[in-house]
Amino acid sequence: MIRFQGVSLRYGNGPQVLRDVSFELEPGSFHFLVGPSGPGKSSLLRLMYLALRPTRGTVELFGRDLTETPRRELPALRRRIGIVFQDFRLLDHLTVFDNVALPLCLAGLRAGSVCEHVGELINWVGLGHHVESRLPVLSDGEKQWVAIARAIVARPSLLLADEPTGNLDPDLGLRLTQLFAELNKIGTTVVMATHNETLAVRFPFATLRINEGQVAVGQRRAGRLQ
Amino acid sequence: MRRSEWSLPLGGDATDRFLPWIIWLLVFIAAIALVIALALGGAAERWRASQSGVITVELGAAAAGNLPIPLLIDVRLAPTGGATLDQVRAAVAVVAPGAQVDDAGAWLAPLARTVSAVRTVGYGVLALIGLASIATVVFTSTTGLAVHRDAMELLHLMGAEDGFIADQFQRQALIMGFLGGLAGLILAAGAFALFGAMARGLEAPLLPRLSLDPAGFVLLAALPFAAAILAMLVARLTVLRALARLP
Repeated sequence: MIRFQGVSLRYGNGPQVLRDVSFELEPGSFHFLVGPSGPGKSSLLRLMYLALRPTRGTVELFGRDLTETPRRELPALRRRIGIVFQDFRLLDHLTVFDNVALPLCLAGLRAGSVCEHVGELINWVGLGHHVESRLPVLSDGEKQWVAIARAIVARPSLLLADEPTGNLDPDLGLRLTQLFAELNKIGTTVVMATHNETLAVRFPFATLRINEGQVAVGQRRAGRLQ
Repeated sequence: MRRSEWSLPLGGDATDRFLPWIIWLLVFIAAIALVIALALGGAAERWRASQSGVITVELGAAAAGNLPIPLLIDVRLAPTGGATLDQVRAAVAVVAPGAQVDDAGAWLAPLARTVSAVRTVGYGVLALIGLASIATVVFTSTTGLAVHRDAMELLHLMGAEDGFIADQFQRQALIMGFLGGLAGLILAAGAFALFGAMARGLEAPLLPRLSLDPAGFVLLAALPFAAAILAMLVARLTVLRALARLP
């Protein structure tokens, strides 16, 4: 699903954020991306969702070497990825419904199916009363759920989440991670960055641990929750 | 479906409001320049046709004597097979030695050159306005991209095709360009009406009559469409170029 080979990353003339990173994530896997605060986790995710190109090395996604993939084919790859950004990155001028529906619109889905599916999902995340609301009236926690709904509405093959529990209380954070685990059960590959390792150890998933620009892939473990 | 027509919040910021204002001004100037260039071209042609082969015979008072004849006579030479200027001069010299025979073309030529130069300046102004329009749309599109960069990058990361994003900018530029162009043309029409009313009061029979043929009116009416299409194409190219720089 994802393969990094000798990947290094540096912003401009700054220090190296990633150094000669190599790992491979199997399709259908779930990994918590953990490590100390710093740019490493977000940078690694940004490489995965094609917002950055590595300074050196190769990144493979869905079996495609991105350095050799023509630019015109990248949008189709991106549409297979659901992203939960740390800062939500929702469109304030759109309603909750339109924000969640955006990936389906970009995929060219027909209006009828979009309406039904999006409405159901918004109800499911508990924002049924906010379907027509604009973003500024929502709390940060509610915006987080909108961002999550948008990330999963198109049933992505790969779900990348950058600190998705950061704006949620522990119970909601747990519920969100359980939701991701359910998606993982039906085949979605999940990488979830979190600083909350006590949450991570409750699930039987492997870790990607980043430290000083190096990445170590851990083994699946027995979590306390299933 | 309650789906947004626009995924980018275009139309609400200063750069979007700026475009029609500058476009109306450019189209207004373009319309004035176009009318002057076209009308002067037509007038010069009509003038040349009316004065071609015409010579002026100026009889001195002595030559006319007490006869009731005009002192200034226009003589139109037959295009083929008629007398030449020299033959007319020789004939007039016999009957009226002090008379002066001039070729109208001799004084028409520098006037025609002046008219032609003014017309060329008019077309030059049109070309400059075209360049200014391109620069304006590049500026507004680039600024618009900067203003909406976050939203644009988000769509890009979510898998929007470059054409989808460019479509939104180009549609906005098309609408703003057309509205601005229409306003400029309406104001120019008002200015022409005012000028026409003022010109009717002038006693200037030697000045060429400024009027447009149907093709001229079509060109004039096409200005808002040209402005809109130019704005649309430039916006699209600017946005596509900016998007090509993203990973």
